[in-house]
Amino acid sequence: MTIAEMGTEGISTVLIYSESVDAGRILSQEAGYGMLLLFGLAWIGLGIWWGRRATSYDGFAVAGRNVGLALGTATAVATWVTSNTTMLAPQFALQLGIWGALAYSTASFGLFAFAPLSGRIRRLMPHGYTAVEFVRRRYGRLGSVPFLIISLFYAMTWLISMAMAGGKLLNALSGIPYEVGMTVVLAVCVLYTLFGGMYAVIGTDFVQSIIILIGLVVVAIAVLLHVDIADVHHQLQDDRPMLLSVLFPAALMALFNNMLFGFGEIFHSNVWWSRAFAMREGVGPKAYLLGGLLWLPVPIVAGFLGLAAPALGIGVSQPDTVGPLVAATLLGTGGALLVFVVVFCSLASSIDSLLAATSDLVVNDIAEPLAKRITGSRASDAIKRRWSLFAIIGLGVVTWCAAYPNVGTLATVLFFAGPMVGSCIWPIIGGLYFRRSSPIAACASMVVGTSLGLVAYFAIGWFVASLIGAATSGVVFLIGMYLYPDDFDFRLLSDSPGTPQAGRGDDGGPIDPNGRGVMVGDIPKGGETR
Amino acid sequence: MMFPLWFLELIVVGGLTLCGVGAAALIVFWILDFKEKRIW
Repeated sequence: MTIAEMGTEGISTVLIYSESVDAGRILSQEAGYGMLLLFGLAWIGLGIWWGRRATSYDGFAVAGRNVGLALGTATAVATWVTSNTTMLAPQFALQLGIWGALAYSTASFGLFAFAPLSGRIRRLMPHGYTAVEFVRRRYGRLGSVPFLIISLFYAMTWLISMAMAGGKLLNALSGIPYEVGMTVVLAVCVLYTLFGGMYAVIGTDFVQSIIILIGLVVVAIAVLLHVDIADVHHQLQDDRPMLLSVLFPAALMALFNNMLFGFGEIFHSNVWWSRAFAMREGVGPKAYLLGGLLWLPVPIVAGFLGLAAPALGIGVSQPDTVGPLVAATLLGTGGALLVFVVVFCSLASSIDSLLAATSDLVVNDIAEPLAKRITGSRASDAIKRRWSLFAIIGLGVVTWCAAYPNVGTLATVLFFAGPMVGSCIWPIIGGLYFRRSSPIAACASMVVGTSLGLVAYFAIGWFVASLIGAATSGVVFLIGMYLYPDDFDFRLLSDSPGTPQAGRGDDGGPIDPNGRGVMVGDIPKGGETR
Repeated sequence: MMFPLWFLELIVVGGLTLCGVGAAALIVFWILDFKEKRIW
């Protein structure tokens, strides 16, 4: 008998079954494999279709730098709707109540805040590829080394958590073994990113964002047809009043922590910088603003599924699958299929973005500088394109190896990077807007912020780690700027890395002992671009 | 002090509405971009 046939009165029975026998299996393995095959082939096909445009490295890495408002907005939404949004937001709500859902939605503030930054990034670096490239040219090696380490750690953490989420989701919904599900989801994303680069990533993001938003609306409305909001409120008031408390200390800390985590993630990550480079001049600010507005309600709607769980008497053995469990339990096979599709889209839209953006880091910020040091010449576009393919495959293999053992919960894996990215907020803002921001200030703020944030993570908890990392790095950055001020010329960011320039080596490489681009005073000064 | 029922209703119904409007807006943007050949 299926859950749909049982109806809502059968929920308790289903849960007893699902908890004691087979934690939450809703779909048959055959249905799960069928959906995987269907959507896997669809994404790969679309990747090949859009990938035909990627004839140059600029096309492959930044989609020709001409992405319009529709695709720009959609890619911001889809990339930021990770499987953590659809799986962790209900967990947040289940454990931290209304504040938990609201706390997760504050991650959209990062998109709002990045909107003006994206316009400035595009203007300052019309030929740029990565965030690390900006930091290297702005702060030199002193800033770029810690920033590159943080960027790679964060990207890999996010990638691994997404791959793990894929395996867990398929296992929770259909009983497909974790290892198989994780492998297939990762392989599909690697394949279509490999074929189409940023064109495929942004193109599929558009389709995926529409599916996610519509799927979420359909699931939430269907849940509301089964349970009244007033009943949810009443049940929570009686049984779990803390979830409704306005003054829930851990939840309040989570709110600020999550907001700063979101700021740090978006400000530093090349996933967002590569999109800023990819969008047409003037599109970025609008796209990120609209993307934030469209993303804002997603964790709230998903979180409601978690809040509804106690009212429905649903016992949850694995908190990070409460959302899919509630929807699938109430809606039966149809709901399970819909949830499956929504979460698969959430996974794919983030994994592909991470593969593309991180491969850009590997190619532009590791391989190319190393090759230039060894051979003395810059890599051609064709070579960089080939390196990108190796990088994407390599990232997929490393992610697979790390995700295979299935160690740690999603939250633990995700929030470990929180203090690190939180400590990048001020060096990025300062580097983009203030001439006085200096390499020493940037380096010290990242190192101190990360260190103290990690101490807080282990000594207090994940819910304060980003907060402490961002706060301490901000103080250190200000002190560093005051004690060791710089006088940077922003025009130095606007030239192509390969363009020879007065005061530079003929390969356009750095001449400063710290590895930075030309210092002010090395070339005639004519004001800065602000 | 607890969140009142109206607040929970506001964020859930408001969130649902925004999600629906958002999906429609993306399709409208795409049509506009397509007409002006400004998708890519």
